[in-house]
Amino acid sequence: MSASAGRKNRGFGLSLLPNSIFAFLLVFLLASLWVPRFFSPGNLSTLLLQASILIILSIGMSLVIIAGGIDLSMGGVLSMCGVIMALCLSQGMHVLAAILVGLACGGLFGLLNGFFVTRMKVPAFIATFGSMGIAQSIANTLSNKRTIYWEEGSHSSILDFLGGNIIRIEFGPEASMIFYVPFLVVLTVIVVGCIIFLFKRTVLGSYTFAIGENEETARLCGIATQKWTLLLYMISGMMASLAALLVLIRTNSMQPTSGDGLEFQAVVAAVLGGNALEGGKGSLYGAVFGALTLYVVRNSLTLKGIDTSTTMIVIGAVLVGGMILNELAARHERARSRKS
Amino acid sequence: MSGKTSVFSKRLLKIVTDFSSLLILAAVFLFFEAANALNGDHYLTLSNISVILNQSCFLTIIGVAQALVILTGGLNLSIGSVMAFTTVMWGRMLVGNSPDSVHYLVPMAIIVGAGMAIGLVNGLLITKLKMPPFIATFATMFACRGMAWLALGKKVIYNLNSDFRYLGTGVVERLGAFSITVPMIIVFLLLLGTSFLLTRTNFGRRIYFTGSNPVAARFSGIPTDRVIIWVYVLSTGLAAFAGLLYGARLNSFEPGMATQAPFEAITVALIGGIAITGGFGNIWGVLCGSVIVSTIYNGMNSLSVASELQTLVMGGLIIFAVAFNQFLIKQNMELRNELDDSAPDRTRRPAPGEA
Repeated sequence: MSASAGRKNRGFGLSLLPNSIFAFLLVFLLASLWVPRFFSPGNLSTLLLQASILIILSIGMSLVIIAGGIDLSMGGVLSMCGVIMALCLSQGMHVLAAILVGLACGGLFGLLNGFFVTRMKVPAFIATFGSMGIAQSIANTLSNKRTIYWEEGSHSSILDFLGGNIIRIEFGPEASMIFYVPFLVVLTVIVVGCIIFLFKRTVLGSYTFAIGENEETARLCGIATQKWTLLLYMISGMMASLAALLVLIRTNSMQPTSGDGLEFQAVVAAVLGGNALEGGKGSLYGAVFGALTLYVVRNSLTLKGIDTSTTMIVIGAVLVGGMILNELAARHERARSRKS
Repeated sequence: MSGKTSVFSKRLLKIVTDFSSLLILAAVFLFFEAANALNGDHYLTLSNISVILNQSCFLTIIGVAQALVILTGGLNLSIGSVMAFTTVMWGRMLVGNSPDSVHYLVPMAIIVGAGMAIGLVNGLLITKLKMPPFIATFATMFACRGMAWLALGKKVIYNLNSDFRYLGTGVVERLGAFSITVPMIIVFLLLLGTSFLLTRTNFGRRIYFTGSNPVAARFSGIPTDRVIIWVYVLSTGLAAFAGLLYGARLNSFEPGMATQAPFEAITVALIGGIAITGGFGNIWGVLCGSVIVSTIYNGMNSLSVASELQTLVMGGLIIFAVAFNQFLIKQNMELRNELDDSAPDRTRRPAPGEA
């Protein structure tokens, strides 16, 4: 917290930016040079669309991590809310109502997580791991472990709009030369922008940092730590259900397993973005670029035709590399603050 | 007079909280006995208890591996992936029964050694690069799982050496319906060894001290980095050993095995009364924790609960058991301090690991 306050006075500098931006630029440059067809308008649009789900998840994850917790239930909540929304749609409910139901379920589940952590004093890691099992089980039970489809109905025009493109520029006749911006990406940008705005301009941000830095001190300073922690877990649950909406619109169906493992990718993205797991340190921009870095790596490896097991190793290596980068930057920062 | 009775009642309460895991175990047993009795079945038969104990062996080993690390205030998420990676890489040496093939102890030693090497990597990442344990072991988890898939693809190593399989399935002695199996003996020896290590050796004391206050430990001259590295080496080596037993029981090694193992291990350790903050807990509690978890699995099967619902019950139970246990541990610590203060003639304070 003190570091970010100190930085503000120093004016704009490269050290203001989260390290994951540099990691992202490096990876992006390497991919553009070495992987053919990576730097094509079509692929970049696909990359953005693919990454938007993880960006939303990692924003929610970072909020919780900065407050000193972790939310491992995000993947499970994604599956659960997606299944609930899809079931509502297949019952012929109006799209907007279905979306609202899904978001409410995500928020409620987040509140439940917050309750476990704040009232029952269960370590966040264990509490959200347990509730991951609960959410997955609800998703599997409701969907009978099958993929859910829905009939074309009166609502399909809204769904088409949500799944459609806002901008479409053709640089050439092939599919790879068409640049498009889907509505989902715009939605992601709006949501992420709102959260970052709230985080920077309201007490939400400073309270979150204070709780993560030292919860006891924050409480003694008059912050209602339990209520704010509850709110943060609720936001992260709602982010998970929003990501479920994205998955649902993109695939036009919903599998009860679509969230499996996504919570770990979100943790990786958040950590690459400089969010320290002990809390009190981090940035939301960083998490966004962390997610983008991950997807650049995955996308370019897929284009190269390298299979997923190698991708797992590379992601492990990227994580270690990113952590080393963060550690080096922190040492540099400490050395400089000692000099001044 | 009232002071004395309150000390007495506190002593009583302390004994109760000391055996919190046993209390949970008794409650779980009673619940399933009652639920089965409604259907006219008998749950707590000798043969069923021996099945439960046999199932809990694997959980106990990974629980001990995790507990060692949690005692130093860390976490090891690489347990399941290390099991898969090491056994998939060198498990082919355990296939078949030809007389001229190498003795099965050789590949076992290689596999455990490889696990320890990965543990060294974990320890170095955590102590020298100052990575949080969660991230460091998370990265090795990803990398090891990927390498396991890369090494074997979608194939499975099966038809293992029968002498080797005896380690996972053999029966030593039958006492009526209760059979003592080889895994039970291995686990018992392991627990004895770990308990000796933790409570009777210098190294064990250092583990507890490092976990309860790393800064104080460093300033009092304990090489905390070395302690932590050794603990990760031991823990990850144990994980590879658990992978061997797992394969011996199933008669196969595959790259996708035991994906949930690190979390099951954390559950077992925490239900067994190891504090997540480090520095507090008794290794025998892990045995209790693993018996509780396998009793719940076994009991749900006896009541034929659907597998989707089993995840739900398990998830809820993890949360409530840990909440209950953390509460009891806190009570226990407070009682211990109060009793120490009220009994000035006791010159020696109990070590953090004694319970």
